Amino acid sequence: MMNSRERVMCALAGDQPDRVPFCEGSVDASIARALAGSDRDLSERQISDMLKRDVVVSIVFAPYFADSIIGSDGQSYVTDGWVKTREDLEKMELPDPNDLELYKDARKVLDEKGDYAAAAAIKLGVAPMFMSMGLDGFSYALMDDPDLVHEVLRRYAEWQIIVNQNLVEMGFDFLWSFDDMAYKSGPFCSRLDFIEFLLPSLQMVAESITIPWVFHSDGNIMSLLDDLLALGINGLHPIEPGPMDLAEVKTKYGEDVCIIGNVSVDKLSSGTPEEIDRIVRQCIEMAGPGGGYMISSANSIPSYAQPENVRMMAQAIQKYGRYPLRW
Amino acid sequence: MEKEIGTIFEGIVNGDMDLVRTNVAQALEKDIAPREILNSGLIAAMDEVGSLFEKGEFFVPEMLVAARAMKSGLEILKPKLAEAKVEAKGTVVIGTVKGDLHDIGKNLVAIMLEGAGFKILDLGVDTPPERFVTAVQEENVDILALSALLTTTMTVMEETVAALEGAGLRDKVKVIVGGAPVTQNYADSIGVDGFAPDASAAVTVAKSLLN
Repeated sequence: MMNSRERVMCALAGDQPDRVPFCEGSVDASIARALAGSDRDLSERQISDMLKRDVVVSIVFAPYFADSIIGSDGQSYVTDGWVKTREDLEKMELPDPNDLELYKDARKVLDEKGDYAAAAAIKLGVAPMFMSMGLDGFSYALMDDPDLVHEVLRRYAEWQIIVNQNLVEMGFDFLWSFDDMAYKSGPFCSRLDFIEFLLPSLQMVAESITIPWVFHSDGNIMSLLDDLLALGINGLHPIEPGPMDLAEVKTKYGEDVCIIGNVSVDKLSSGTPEEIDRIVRQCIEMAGPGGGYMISSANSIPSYAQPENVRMMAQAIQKYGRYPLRW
Repeated sequence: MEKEIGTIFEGIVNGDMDLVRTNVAQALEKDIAPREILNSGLIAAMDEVGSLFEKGEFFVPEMLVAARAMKSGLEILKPKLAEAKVEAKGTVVIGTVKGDLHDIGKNLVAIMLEGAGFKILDLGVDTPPERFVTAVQEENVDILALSALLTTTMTVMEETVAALEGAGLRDKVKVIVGGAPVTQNYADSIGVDGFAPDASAAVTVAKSLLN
C-alpha cells in the first residue's frame, strides 16, 4: 500500500496508484471545525487526517493591489484594481520574496506533513494582474498602453520565480498554481491576446518550476489547453462541471496530464449526501481508469458547503477509489 | 447613411474613443438628428459588438473598450437627445442580490444594456430585496435585472421576487436573472420573465420583453 505522498506523486506522473488520491486544495476553516465538532481551527495535517485527504497545502499567494471588501462569509472580495496607468505601478509594492516571514505557514505545514504530499499554492501572475488592473483596466490598457500589461505581468513573474525557487528548496512535493483565466463561456481574452500578453509571462514562471506542478483555472479553458499543457503542466484542476466535460478532457488529454476534479461545488452546498456519493462514483468512473487522476471538488470546499456532503465525499472516495476499480 | 455615422459605428466596434467623439461632434454640427446618431451609430455598433461576442470573435476586453468608446460619444450626445426629447428604450434597475459581492458580470450586463439604449439604475452589490422594491416603487422601471454568482445567494432572487409580489409590484416590471449558477430551469422555477447566460444575451432578452 502506498502512502499519501507516493499516491499523489504517482498520479501526478500519470501512473496508476493503489487508489485514487483525494487532492483537495482548500477546505474552509468553518467546515473543518463543523466536521471535527471543534471550536478551534484545524491544521492542514488535522484536516487531512480527518478526511483521509492525501495532501496538505500551504498558500503563498502574491498580493493583489486592489480595493476589497469583506463579505458576510468573511471572505475578501476585490472591488477594483489600483493599477490603471503607468503612474500606478508604484503602488505595486511586492514584499521581499526572500523574507522568511512569507514562508511561516509553509514551514509549519512542511514540519507536520508526515507522509502527506505537501503542495504550495501559488499564483503564476495572471490572476494577480487581472485583480490589480481590474478587467476594465486590463482591457483599456490593451488599447491604450499594452506595455503596461507586460510590465505588471513581468513584475509578478520575477517575484514568483524567486518564491518558487524558495518553495522548492524548502521541500514541497509539488506547486499548485491558481490563476483563473476564463468564464463559463470561455477565456477572459482572445487567444491572440492570451498568446501575446499572458503566455510569455506564464512561460517565464513555468520554466522556473523544477518539481511537478498543477495548474488551476475556473471556467472553460478548452481553447487554451494545448498552449497551457505546452508549459509542462503535470496536473490540471478543477475541470469545472458545465463549461468543461471531465470525460472529454480525460479522453483528449488524459495521456498528457493528470486530471484533478471535479465534484460539483454547487452540489456540495445544495445537494444531498446521496447525490454526492453518486457524483464521486461518476467522477472516478469517468477519469479514474488507468490512473493519472486525482479527485477533488471542482474548486474548493467553501464555507457554504454542507458538512455532511463533504463527509460523504470523503467516504465515497474511500468506497469507490481503490484500484483496480470495481463497481 | 452619412459618413460620420459609419465612422462612429466603426470607431465603437474598434474601441476608438477619439474617433467616436470627433465624429459625434461633427455629426451634430452637420445637423444630423441626435436620434439617428444614437440609433444608427451608437446602438447599431453595440449590437454588432454583441453579435461578435456571441460568435466568439469578441471577448470581454473588446466589449469593454467598445462600451467605453460608445459612452464617450453618448456623453456628447446626451444633452442633444434630451433637447430632442429622445427617450431611452426602457429603464433597467440592476443589482447583485443580498449576500453576494460579485459585480463583474452585473457590470458587463449594465454596460451592454446601456449600449443598447436602456437607462440603467445600478444598485450595486449586496442589494437586499427591499432596496429593489423601493427602486421599482420610486422609478418608472421596466425591467429588474438580478445577478448572483453563488448557489447560496441565488436563492435571494426568489426572495426578491416574493418581496415584489408582497409589495404588489410584480406585474409592474419584468424580472430577468443571470449569473454563474443560474439556469433557465431555475429562472422558470422562481417565475421570472427571462434568463440570460451572458451580457450579450441579456440585451436580446431585455429587448424581447419590452416588445
